[in-house]
Amino acid sequence: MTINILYFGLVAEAIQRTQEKLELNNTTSVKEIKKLLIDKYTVLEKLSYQIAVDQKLANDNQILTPTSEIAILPPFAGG
Amino acid sequence: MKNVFRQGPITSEFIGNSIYKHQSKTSIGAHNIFLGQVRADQIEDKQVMAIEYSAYEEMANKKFHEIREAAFEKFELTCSHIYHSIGKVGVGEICLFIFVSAPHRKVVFEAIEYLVERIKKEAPIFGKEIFEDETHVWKVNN
Repeated sequence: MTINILYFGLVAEAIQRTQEKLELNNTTSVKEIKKLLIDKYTVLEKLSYQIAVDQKLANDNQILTPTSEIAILPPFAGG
Repeated sequence: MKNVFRQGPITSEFIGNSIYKHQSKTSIGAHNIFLGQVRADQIEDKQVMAIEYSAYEEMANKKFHEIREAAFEKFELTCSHIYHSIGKVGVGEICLFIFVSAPHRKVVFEAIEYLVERIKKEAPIFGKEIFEDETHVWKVNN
């Protein structure tokens, strides 16, 4: 399946992109995508971020679906 | 879904006008307002000149909606409005405007604190603190 990943703030700056499409297995979990992203962008290992799936913060065990929208969110700074 | 974001600083005209609009809601007896202002922080000998805000806007708007709904359930409010800047906001300018109204005063103090704290903690908004020399650092809420 192809899923869309969005990157924000410090993370987007560090990897120099704001979004991309990734080809994944049908049963990829959040934990697996974290690993995959660290393999692709080693700088992520040093950064602090949370992952949202379909605009909700996700835990490691959550399984992605073909329509999932993934977002990589660095620490919040609103207000 | 209501869009909470406004491009650039939130002006005093906009804030004044929001207050004015509530004069017709005569069941209100108390308003409370929180204004977040961009501070000229000193970081390693450099002074912040502006914050450039970006956000995961769809998620943030959903989150603002959820926080606002929770405030209505928790407190007896007549209305509540939230606005947050997106884009560049200079030091001394307003980046967050929260406005709550109720028949009586006590709840508006509690409600405003509840809203500010949840927004700071839960809204996916990111801030780049820009220095005079155009370099920057990324702001993180405590």
